[in-house]
Amino acid sequence: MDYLINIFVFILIFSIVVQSLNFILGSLGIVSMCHAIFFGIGAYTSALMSIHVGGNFFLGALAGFAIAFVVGCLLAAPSLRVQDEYLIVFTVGFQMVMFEFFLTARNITRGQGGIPDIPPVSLFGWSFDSSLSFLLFLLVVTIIIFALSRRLFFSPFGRALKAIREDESAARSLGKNSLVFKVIMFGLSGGIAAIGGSLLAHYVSYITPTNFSVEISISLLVMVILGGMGNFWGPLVGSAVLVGLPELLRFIPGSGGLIDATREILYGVILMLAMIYRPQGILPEHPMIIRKKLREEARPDKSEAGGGHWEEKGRQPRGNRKGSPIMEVRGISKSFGGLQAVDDVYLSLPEGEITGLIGPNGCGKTTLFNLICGHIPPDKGSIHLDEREYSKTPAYRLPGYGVVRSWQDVRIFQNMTVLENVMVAGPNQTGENPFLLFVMAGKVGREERENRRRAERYLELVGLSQMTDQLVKNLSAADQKLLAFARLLATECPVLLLDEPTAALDLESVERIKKLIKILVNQEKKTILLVEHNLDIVKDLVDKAYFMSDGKILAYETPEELMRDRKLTEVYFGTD
Amino acid sequence: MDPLLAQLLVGGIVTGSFYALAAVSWGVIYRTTHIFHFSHHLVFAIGGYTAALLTTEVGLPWFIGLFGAVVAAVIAGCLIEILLYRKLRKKDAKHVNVFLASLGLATAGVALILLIFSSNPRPLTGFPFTLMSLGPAFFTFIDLTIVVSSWVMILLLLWFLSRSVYGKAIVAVGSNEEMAENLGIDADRIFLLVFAIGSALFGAAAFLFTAKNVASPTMGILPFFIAFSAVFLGGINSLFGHALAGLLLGLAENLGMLFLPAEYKTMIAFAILFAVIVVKPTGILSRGRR
Repeated sequence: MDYLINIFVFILIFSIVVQSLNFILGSLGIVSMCHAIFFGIGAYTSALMSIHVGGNFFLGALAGFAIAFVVGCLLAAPSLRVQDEYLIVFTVGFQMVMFEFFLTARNITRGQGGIPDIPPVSLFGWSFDSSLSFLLFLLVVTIIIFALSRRLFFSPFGRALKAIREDESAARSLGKNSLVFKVIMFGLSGGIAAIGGSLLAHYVSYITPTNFSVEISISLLVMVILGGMGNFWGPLVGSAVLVGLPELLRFIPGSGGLIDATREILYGVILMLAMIYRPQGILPEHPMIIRKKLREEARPDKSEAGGGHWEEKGRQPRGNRKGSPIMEVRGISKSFGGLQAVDDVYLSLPEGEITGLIGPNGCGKTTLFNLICGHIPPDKGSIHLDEREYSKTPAYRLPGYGVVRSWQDVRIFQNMTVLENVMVAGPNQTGENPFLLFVMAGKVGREERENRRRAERYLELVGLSQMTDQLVKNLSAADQKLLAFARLLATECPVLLLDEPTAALDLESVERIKKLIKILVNQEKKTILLVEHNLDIVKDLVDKAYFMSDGKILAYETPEELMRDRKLTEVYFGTD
Repeated sequence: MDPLLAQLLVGGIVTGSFYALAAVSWGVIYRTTHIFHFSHHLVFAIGGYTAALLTTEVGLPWFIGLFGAVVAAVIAGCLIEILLYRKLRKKDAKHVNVFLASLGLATAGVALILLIFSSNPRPLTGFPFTLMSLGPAFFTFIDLTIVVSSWVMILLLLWFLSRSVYGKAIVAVGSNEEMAENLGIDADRIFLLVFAIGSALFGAAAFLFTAKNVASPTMGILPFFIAFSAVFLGGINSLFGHALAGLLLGLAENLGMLFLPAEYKTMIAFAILFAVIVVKPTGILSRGRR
């Protein structure tokens, strides 16, 4: 009986640690090679506290959580600033260094021999010293941690993490400061793993460095993957299988070393086979939705796209300012090496109108667009929105100024549902702060309902209201573009920068998009900058267009005027 | 010069040269394929064991051991590319997933070596062990071989990449795979080539390591950790930077013993890596961002 209880205890403890890693590997898609160390930090902190300070479980667990949180943030911040791969390097290094520290810092961790005689959990004078009573205590703690994790997992915060995983640049363009999200999550994850460590220390009453070796870190990864990366219940399944299965190995005769090696081989083979044949694990992230294939008859009538159900008025423009400039680019320049890509450009967007930006290939359109989007800093000059300067601002701040861009290659979040794609773009979501998420639950809930209502409205506007629960990767190319528009609208930004919104679409879809853009301006009172190759589209949509060549603006006219100008058409079409 | 300092300096150059070779062997693979090839340390162990078994168990001369180590490493590296990475590429696996598969292979492979050969260290016999001196510092013939051969191999690789057609193709694939393929370069073949080159260099390094120390299942983990740290430290795109960073880590590890006990070796490497990435995220020998 005690043997079975023992297995259950380990499954529950591991499921907590594996859940913490699932937030990193599943929600963020980043590898941590040092979660056994966070586990160890919790265990050692609890053990030392209960011996030196006295054994209140919550005090030790809280201290472990705090230390692991800080360490996690410090580890993640510099590495994730560069590239996700750097975190692998840092966490492998951290795992090795800290393991060495556990082994050698004899006056703190007591070295190889470890710390014996850790008292059992005691609470209000009640001691959980039998395995059964500990199991009950652990069950309660696990349920609490899973409930809190579930809140985090399915919150606006968790949604933003997945968006960052799917496409970091796109998430940043929607106003998510991806680095802060990743660093905070890594810290929190370390903290949760540390709580698992505290539980372990009090249960086994004797910890040694080998409990927190790199092999443990790897086995945690295997548990996340086997259970299913990004599925909330995956960690429970993963740890149940992989804590339970090696127990069976015990019944095979042989030495302990043989069992260890066999287990390592088992883990390694599971990892390899899972990556080749079933990367989604036992419980896939979207188990039902994936199988619900998109069927034509379930589709709404295509002609309804951007249709007339849209009764509600959009926001009112401030005063009667239509036509006065809302955004101004003043004397902006950028050179790459010797090439002057953008040369002293002035440009302004009249409010509530569509302004075009056209020019031949290599004229500097894309560079200018990237400058306006904040993707590259200008050498000189400035950009103003309603007289607020925003040049040299990181891309994620732009929506805060009221500017949002679209991407020529769409860049919607593939492994998320249509509704999630739109909801993630909502501005100022309190629930994106993992602390306020728990403290101001009421406000978060209200905002979330309002956010959902808005998202459904925008989906109706673009004609996708029948598909809210579909996974985006099941959508057609045209529908994906329409979804990208809904996502732009959800940011509530008055200025939209559109990068060739009709590229690579069939004629019918082009008409749908054109109709939608007109609605955005006339009904939603948006101001639009349209970078476009296709002169027909420019002619149909644009009020006035800037003509750019060799980094300079040559003309600012209505499209008809521009096309009548022989000199410009020669530049555009390259006729001799 | 203070004899201790001289000794540590010589030790640092020897270790540093070995690390430089290790770093370049992984760097040439990483910067071309962008695969975080974790199984590289398994390749190292396979090379080391081949060298030790051929010389000690079979009784062949050391140069056969060297040849065997290089060949075994190349075969292992190429098989991993063909049977694992290529398969994953065909399935459009994410970078993270390729890394995880590689991690799995390395874990299973090392455990398999442990299961077959036990954890007993395997020495390499027959390589001359003459003691030599330079002023107050002593070193062995193996140390001298490590320094000379490492830098010769590194320079040969740099020369090959900048001068030969294949070298240029490797650089082209590394900077833009799709564009290179449009120009008629077969990326799969180039990938295989860099896996062969990187594994050959690491196999040679494994021979040198085994000649100086012994072969054991986890022998590759520390050199591999230093290797990829040096690659990120030196700046991903500069092979010369990788070599320089490897040398730097070797020197720091040895000179660090002036102040710290020997157990803190890995800590020194990690501290340097951490400090440099905080100050200059793209590495010591990189121009601009990314």
